[in-house]
Amino acid sequence: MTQAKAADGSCVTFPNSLAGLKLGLDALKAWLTAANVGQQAEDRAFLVFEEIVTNIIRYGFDDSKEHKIDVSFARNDGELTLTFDDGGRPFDPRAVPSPDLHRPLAAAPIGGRGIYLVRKTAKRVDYERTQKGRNRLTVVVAVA
Amino acid sequence: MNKPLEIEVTYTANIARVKLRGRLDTPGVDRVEAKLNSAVVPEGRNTVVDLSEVSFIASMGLRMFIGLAKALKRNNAKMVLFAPQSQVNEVFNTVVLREIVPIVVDEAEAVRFAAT
Repeated sequence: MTQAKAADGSCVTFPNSLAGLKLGLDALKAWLTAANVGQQAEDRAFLVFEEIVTNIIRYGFDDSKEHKIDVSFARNDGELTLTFDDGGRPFDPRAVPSPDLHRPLAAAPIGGRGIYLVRKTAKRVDYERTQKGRNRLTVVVAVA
Repeated sequence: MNKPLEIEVTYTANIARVKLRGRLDTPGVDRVEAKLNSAVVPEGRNTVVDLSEVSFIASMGLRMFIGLAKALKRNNAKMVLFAPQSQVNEVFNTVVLREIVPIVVDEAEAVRFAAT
């Protein structure tokens, strides 16, 4: 599992690593270019993809083994839908508390803003833990 | 695909001027963060960061800037960001970054702010 697969351009599989993230980003870029959705929608899709996949890579797994992340892309009715499927620990981004964004520099945490950005960028976020014990996260962003 | 993020650091008096070109996503931050920190933190230089050619930022980019600002503050120095483009500015607004780090319109204002 060293290469992304994008048989119809709407689905990609890659490993949970920085190299895997780069493969996924390349596949998303190719799909978005072909879908011709415009810069703003591209930026939204990239932000969601980057934040969710980085979170899975950093926090999803307890071991150092290679794991597979599946992401599918779809466009319909003025929306882009990104669906993330991984076998990591259960994680529902909707349940993450919003960060305190008003602390001064000395007290501000360095991280913790990625999931908040996803929720603010998305039109909808749905999550389920499947019967096969996998996370399936669906994030919808507006095209216009 | 996208060009790798590029970094250029120049020094004038006690100011370090950092120019970034490209995308501040996870691969981009991984590429430049160590170089950026080592260029400005050890000597505690006031630092202005030109974002006029940064087309995209994600939370790893925010993390890099907040970490750098904290490190400089510990060395009695400041970091000021300037000229963010549309997506970058939108992300800054979403997380209210201006309450943590100064963000100004252009280099002259950034240098003035860093020197005060």
